[in-house]
Amino acid sequence: MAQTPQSNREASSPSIQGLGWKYLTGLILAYVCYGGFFIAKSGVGFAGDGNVVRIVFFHVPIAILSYVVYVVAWVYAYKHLRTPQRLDLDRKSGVAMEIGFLFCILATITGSIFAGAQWGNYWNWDSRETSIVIMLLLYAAYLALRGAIEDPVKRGKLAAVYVLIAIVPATFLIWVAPRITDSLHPGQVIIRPKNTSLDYKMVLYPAFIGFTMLFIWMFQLRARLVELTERRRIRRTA
Amino acid sequence: MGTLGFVMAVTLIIWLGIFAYLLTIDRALRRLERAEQENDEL
Repeated sequence: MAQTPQSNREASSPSIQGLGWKYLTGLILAYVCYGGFFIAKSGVGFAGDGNVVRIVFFHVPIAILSYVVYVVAWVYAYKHLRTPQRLDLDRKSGVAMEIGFLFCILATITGSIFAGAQWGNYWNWDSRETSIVIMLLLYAAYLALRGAIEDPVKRGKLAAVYVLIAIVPATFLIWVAPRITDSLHPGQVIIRPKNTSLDYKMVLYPAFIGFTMLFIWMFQLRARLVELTERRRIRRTA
Repeated sequence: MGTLGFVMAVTLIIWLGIFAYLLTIDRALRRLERAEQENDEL
């Protein structure tokens, strides 16, 4: 097969091959589903019998990943701006933002379920809730921007600049704003010794690993599909 | 088991469904990529 220099460069993009680690992801998250209910004990300082705390094993990794994924998109956007001819980097940045949007929606839903069980109201306009709504808007605006520009070169440049700049409000919203205002968010209750016992860590740490592997898997699948679609589009127009 | 077991079962079924769906997409994509590669070689 005759490869162009462009496709050679794209082939060198890092990716994890094989099926083994995907089955491992399945096993780890199945363990988290079981362990979240039957290995970790119920929390102290939570509503009712403390079972509401079990959503932490899903909500916290997903919420943290929704920011980490943004950083992944930022890295690809930065690389794309350094090498504007590499449109595959822009596409990867777009894929990361799509998955980040999905994770952000899931973090909002799981957080709202927790709020309903803990405080009796699914939405309270707490500082953490307000910041995640703005974070969702940041993601949505990016996807709207990508969808609005047809020229791939112009789209790549504008989308990358957006990602580079919007990381400032994203960082502020996730890490700073909820800490400088009064918040219902149980960050302090969660880190009490009783709530950070070994049984709790035995589920939470695998949850972090499992959800990260799930992100990598979803990212690779979507990136492969986008590249395949792009190759077919180029062949059709050639 | 009780209520906790029921919620765990629902969570586990949802995850296994997502997992099977991702595996299906993975296999379909691999097939498409192989077909694409064969197409390029022709």
